[in-house]
Parts: sequence; structure tokens; C-alpha cells
Amino acid sequence: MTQEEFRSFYESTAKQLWAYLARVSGDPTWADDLSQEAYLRLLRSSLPADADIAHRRNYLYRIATNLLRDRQRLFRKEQNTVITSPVTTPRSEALHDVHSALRQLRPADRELLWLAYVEGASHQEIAAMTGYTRLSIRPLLSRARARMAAILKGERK
Amino acid sequence: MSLQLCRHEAAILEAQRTGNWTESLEEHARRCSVCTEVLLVEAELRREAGNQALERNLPDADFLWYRSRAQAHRLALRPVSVAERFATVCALSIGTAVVIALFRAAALT
Repeated sequence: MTQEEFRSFYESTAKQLWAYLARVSGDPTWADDLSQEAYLRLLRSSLPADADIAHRRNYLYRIATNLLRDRQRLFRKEQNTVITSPVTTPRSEALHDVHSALRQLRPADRELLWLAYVEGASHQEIAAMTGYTRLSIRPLLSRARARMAAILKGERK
Repeated sequence: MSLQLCRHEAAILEAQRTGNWTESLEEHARRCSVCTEVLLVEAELRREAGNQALERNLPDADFLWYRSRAQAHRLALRPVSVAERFATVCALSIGTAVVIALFRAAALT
């Protein structure tokens, strides 16, 4: 990948990748570190130079997802607790319940929901980004969505 | 939690994103509990995604590019540095052995 190609790829993906990592981890500082590390690993990777943008993007998300899972595993080991890293940024009331709903979900559910409903990724793309099999995405996503809807409805009662 | 699926999920999502709703699809979305859930979750997550308070100034692409080059450079030099250390240890060992041998030779004579 040339410097120019990287610049264009970075500009088209960096904000979305950061948003994905921030919402799945629940911690913007993790998103800062992990998104940079994901790009550095992508640049060091043996991905063919002529790989298309979609392939490159899936690969980047796969690296980022793996980095995040490793960090969560390490964090759980150190803290011996479930990850509920607080986001300290001031938030509006309207956004409070969705944010709190996300925090109550498992990180794997957050990954799937964000990729499917915010990134608009297909099941095949989600499989490439997360490492799950394509056929497992639909049922996993359905369960994650049901859990989030139940939390949202519960909070609004 | 039981698995609830609807074959119109993808079409409902597409209509929500593009605004191209057909009458039958709208009717279905009102009646189907799965699709109602899809629309609720999608809308909430999109709202969260648009939350400006959580946006950051990300580093420049060129900064990452040069950082990656510097890392690659360091990694490329690592074998040379290992070989250099090995050569130094060998030279010191040989030098010490020669000095000891010379001292012994001198002591014998």
C-alpha cells in the first residue's frame, strides 16, 4: 500500500473504526490506543497490496476486534470483574438509555449490533470482521437484538 | 432466550435506511414484533452513532504511516543487532582465551 492509498483508506475508515471500538469497549481511551494499533498492524500485515477496499476494511476490523478481545481478556483477568468501563464524556438524557443498554450487553453482542445496524455490514462482512461463521451471524444477531430491545423497553417503562 | 427471525428483516432495514417504504412493508413492520424490534434497535444505535460528544480528533494518517515505517525499520535492524552482540561476545571470548594462553606461555618460559 502506498502512502497515498493509506491516507485515503484511513480517512474513509478511521472515524467509524474508532466509534466501533469506543462503543464496544465502552471506553474512548481504549478506542484511541486500539484503533492506532490496528492500523499499524494492518500496515505490517502481509495483505496483498492490490487487496480491494472492502477486503482491507474487513481485515482492519478483524484486527481491531481481536485486539479488543485480548485487551478485555487481560482486563478481566486483572480486575476479575465484568467490563463496565464508564464513558466519562457528558451525555444527553436521550442518549443515556441506549448507552446504558449497550453497557448491559456482552461485548460480543455490542460488536454484532454495531456492525450490523450502524456500519450496515452484511452477514458475510460481519463474519469476516469478527471471526464467527457466516451462518452463525443471523441467530447471534437476533439474540443480541432481542436482548437490547428488552433492555431498552425495560428502561422506558 | 428464544430465537425470533423474520424473512423481511433485511428489506425493513433497507427501507429504513433509504426511506423507500412500500405499503405492504410498512404494514408488515407495524404487525411484526421482530421487525418492530429491528427498527427500535437500529434507530437507537444510529442515534448513539451520531453522538458528537463522543467524537475525537484522530491522529493524522501520515503520523501513523511514519510510525509504521519506523517500527518496520527497527524490526529490520533487530537481526543485525543480535548478530553484532553475538560477534562481540565471540571476540571477547577469543581475546580472553588468547591473553590467558599468552600468560601461560610466558609463565612456562
